[in-house]
Amino acid sequence: MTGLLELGLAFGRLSLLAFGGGLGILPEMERQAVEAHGWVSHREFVDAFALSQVTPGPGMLMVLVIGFRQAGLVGALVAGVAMFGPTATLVAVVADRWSRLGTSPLVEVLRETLTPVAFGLLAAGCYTLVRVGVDGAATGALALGALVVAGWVRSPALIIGVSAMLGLALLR
Amino acid sequence: MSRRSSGPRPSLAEILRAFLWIGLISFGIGRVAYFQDELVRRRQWLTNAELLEAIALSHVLPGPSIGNLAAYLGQRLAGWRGALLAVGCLTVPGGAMILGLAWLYFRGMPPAVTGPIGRAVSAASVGVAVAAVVRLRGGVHGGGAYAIAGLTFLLFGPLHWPIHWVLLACLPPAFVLARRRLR
Repeated sequence: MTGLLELGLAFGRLSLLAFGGGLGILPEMERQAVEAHGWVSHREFVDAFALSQVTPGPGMLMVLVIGFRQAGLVGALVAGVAMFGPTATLVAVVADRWSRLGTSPLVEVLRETLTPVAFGLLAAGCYTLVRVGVDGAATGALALGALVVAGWVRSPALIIGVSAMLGLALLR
Repeated sequence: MSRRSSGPRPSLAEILRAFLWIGLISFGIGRVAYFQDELVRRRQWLTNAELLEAIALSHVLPGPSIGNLAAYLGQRLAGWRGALLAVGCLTVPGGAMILGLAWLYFRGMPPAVTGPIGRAVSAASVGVAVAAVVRLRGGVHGGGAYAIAGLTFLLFGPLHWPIHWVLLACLPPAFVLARRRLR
């Protein structure tokens, strides 16, 4: 029971530290899960991240692997709910209030304020992705190829699926 | 100018279908691309500008940004039940899959997917994410807004500023600019 509580508290706290996307909290998550609590080894932590890359949905689902390692299915559930639940609730409350504000001039200005900043944050996210995802000529070519193809093929899933097969053939 | 894109609000069944689909296929790290494709291009429930606004709020608030984005969009499109449904549909399929793989992994059978396939998926999702961001530029109006976007990119990307400093530096000039534009 105290183990589950610790899992829930640790991941709940981590979710509150995640501003501007999940990638930023990876170092702190590793410190907690590997060094402070010893729930997983360093190798297992890295592999949990790799698993989150080949499964759909939010990358932060990797916390399920850590919870699962520590306390089985219940541990996975506790870790997942702690990571997504509180902040999703907060965001839904804000979304509710925000939509009630309607279209007063001030709200229009706030919207117009947020969009360029969001666009910049996304572009910066791409910058981080390049450093995570491209580690040589082959992966660089795959990334560039996907970008060019995405001009015609609008389905991201199709592009990723074909790339996965190319990866099996080319990246051995 | 009306910012709401289109007619009737989607039903819960439609929310279920759309977000379950995203939850099932959104491989790779640039997950915003799947939201853009499904909700803006295909179903036209949102405009690019509305999606950018949602992304902004889900980044400004704490939490994993894609989970936040689902909660925000679910709430805006179909209320509280919509938010719950959207977050559930986004996380349950991938959660089940990652648990299946974790079970194999901890039984000493590391799935082959951690190797070349994983690297290829990461690499390709870079391209897909950049393409999605390029498409979202339709929500940014005017040279000044692009300058703000560029500053945000520079501080948060190459210069690695913590997000709260980035927001402190970028939101005030963005506000002044927006007020001038809309006056």
